[in-house]
Amino acid sequence: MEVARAALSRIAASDRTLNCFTAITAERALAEAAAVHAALVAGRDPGPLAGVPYAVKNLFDVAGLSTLAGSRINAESPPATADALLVSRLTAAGAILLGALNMDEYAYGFTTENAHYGPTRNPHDPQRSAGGSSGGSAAAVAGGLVPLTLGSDTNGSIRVPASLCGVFGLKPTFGRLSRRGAFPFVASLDHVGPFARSTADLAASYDALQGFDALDPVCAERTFEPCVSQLRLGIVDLRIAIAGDYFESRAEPEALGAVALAAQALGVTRRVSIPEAARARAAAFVITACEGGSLHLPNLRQRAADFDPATRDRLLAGALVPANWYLQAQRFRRWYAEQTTDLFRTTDIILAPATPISAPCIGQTTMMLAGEQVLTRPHLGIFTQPISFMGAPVVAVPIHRPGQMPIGIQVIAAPWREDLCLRVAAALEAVGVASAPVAAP
Amino acid sequence: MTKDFNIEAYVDHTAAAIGLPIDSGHQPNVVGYMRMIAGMAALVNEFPLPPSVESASTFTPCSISTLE
Repeated sequence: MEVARAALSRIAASDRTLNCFTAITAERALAEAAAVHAALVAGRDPGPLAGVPYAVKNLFDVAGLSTLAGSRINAESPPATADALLVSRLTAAGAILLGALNMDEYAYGFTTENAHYGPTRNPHDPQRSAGGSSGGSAAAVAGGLVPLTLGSDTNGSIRVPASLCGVFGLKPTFGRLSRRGAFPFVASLDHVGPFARSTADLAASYDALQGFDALDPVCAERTFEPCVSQLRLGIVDLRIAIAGDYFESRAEPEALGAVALAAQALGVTRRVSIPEAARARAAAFVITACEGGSLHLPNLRQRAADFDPATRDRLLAGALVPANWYLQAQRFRRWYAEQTTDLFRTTDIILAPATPISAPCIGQTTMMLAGEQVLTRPHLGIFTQPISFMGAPVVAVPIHRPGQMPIGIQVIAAPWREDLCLRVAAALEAVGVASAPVAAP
Repeated sequence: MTKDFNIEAYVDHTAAAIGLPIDSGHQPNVVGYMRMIAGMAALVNEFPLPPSVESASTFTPCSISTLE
């Protein structure tokens, strides 16, 4: 009970500034904490995450709350009658739900500057963006409000905010974790996963979240592959390389420096080229626009003015994409997945920047990349999009940079090898290159 | 995308075809985003793929047990 009350106090103290939460489930949290306490008193196993406070991006169903998905439109929806499957799994593991978290409307953005619910602020500098679209999820962990959150990642929406807020985030293999009860965005690309302040916490939550779900059409029928027990295996047997070409040509020095620090700590100098990464990003862009626009077409027809302006016009354009563009992008994805998976025959882990820059200011519409002025929002995901497009697992690892804004790297493995990503993240943490300190208030 | 692709006209005609009203105040932005998507699509479409490459969007029939 004390843990839940302390978390509620932290949220009360900090969220007025950070704006991470769109709902606080205090009554439920105290009831769940009481249930954990009762289990302990009765000598029952309260679960591997007993008493751990957590919160979820507000696209996850939470029984009794309308699932906002960052929108005003969904606020009119009836309250969810059941929890999303991953929320149920965390509850079964003994974790305590504290509330729902802010995001870009319908997950279509990289900055969590939400016109309806306000911007989520970066705990390391409240004038700066938390990243998005799972900005509330990353900032709540970085600010020390809760130690564990859930988010979603279609093109980078776990990895971008993890990088900008300086926390660990796991985007698992496409199809690994069930999306049942998570409001969709792009069915072909949607992933869900956790944020935490350490690799151990990330792995523990991931282990609690695993499991086949026949009611998510893309959830793969995999056996439970525990990762907590793998963390101590180290990395001596792993073939690690740095992503070259595309991933080095458009990153600012701070992003390249973060990769270099990690590579140096791991003794890595070899480079690999991920084939056609720019085209993969383009194909992901087309599929995202088309599926997102199509999903929201009924509301776009009837009530376009109720969308966040930053989302609306992109969804409107996406609804008009010709079939050929979409289908070619899907066919290209098949080719790309085969090519990139082949790359992992000779490489276990690839290191790449997570974002091209550290957190931009809230409201900053443009940024400089390789000497060129570009739009901020679409370009924050240039390094994450080609990776989620291949469906590979990634741990976003925050690189320790005292006195500077955080920035993260992507630790990428072959599909279904989350264990390798987590082992490398743990190794970087062990040598002090990676860390996720709570931001000073 | 061809060089003479008129994006404004495409947006107007396709929106009409699918019954999607676009407010005149939103139309310039929509055209801008469509131009961005078109550029991305051109990058994808210029890449030759053999006919044997199928879409990554696959379909698995439901089993009766899933529905129960």
